[in-house]
Amino acid sequence: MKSKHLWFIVSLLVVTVLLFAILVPHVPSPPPIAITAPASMHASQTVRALHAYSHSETGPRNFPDNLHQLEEALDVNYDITKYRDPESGVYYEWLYYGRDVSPLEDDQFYPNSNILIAVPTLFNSEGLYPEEGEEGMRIVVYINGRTEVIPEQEFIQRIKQQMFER
Amino acid sequence: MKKWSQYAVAIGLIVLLIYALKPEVGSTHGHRRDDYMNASAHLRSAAIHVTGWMSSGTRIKHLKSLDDLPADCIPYRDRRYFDPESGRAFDWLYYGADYRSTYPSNRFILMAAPTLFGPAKDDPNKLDNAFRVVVYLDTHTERLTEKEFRQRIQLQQQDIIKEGTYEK
Repeated sequence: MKSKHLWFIVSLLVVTVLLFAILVPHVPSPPPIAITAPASMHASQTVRALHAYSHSETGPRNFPDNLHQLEEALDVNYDITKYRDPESGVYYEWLYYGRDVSPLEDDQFYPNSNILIAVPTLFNSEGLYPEEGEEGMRIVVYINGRTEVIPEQEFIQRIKQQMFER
Repeated sequence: MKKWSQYAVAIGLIVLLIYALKPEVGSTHGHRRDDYMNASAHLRSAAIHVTGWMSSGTRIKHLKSLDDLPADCIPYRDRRYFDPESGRAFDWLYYGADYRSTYPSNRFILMAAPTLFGPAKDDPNKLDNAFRVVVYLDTHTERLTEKEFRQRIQLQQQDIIKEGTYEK
């Protein structure tokens, strides 16, 4: 009798696990915050500099066409205008989506959900670059400075939508 | 004692001579030539795949973003620039969204490496000594100083053709 109960419980557990695995869609797990936090903070620093650029002494203006214009206007160094790969120490260009965007029209035309900067590399759940076929996560910063880690496919869709809206 | 000092001077001179005559294998302008050559080769290969896709079919397709390419269109190793040290890959800079058919294909910068090469690659005040690898729409690659690259991109985005400086 006891062994019958045991078998029943075990099979119930197996069925539950299987159902869970089938029904729950596969969502890539984000890398630990300890890995993404420095890149997120770094990217939001650039967004703050972009806001400083857009609120210039001569009055409000659009975000620059390219980030090097930010470099020239504010006399900031590459630590602001480029992403630094922590492993190799090499600077890389951010993915920048602020061309033709006015921060002053946020409420009307450019909602805060619009991506302004993205980290130019991907992370897997261990913080490494994903292998071929493995989906990676992208760190993004919105116009209002909020950062998020989203799957690459979602990132691509959102950028397409942003381009389409413009 | 005097002899020993003569020997030391002679050996020192030989060492200096060897050092001075040592061929600069593996370095261009203070950075590893391999890295620059690698980036150039991968960038060209990527551009060949991109332009191949654009011109396939019955009409030329306008490619707004590299993400719009079918997944199997570019080999994995060419899809992005791989940092030789960290093994991470970084997105190419893509400018094809601004392309107008009036722009000469041998002057239109289609893509560029996401990083700089050269002795001043980390110094924003020495843009003449930092280099950017670019590939044009006709898929030839070139190494431009960062200063020139920035000027050309600005002109390109305004659809202005700079005359005379880079005929091929």
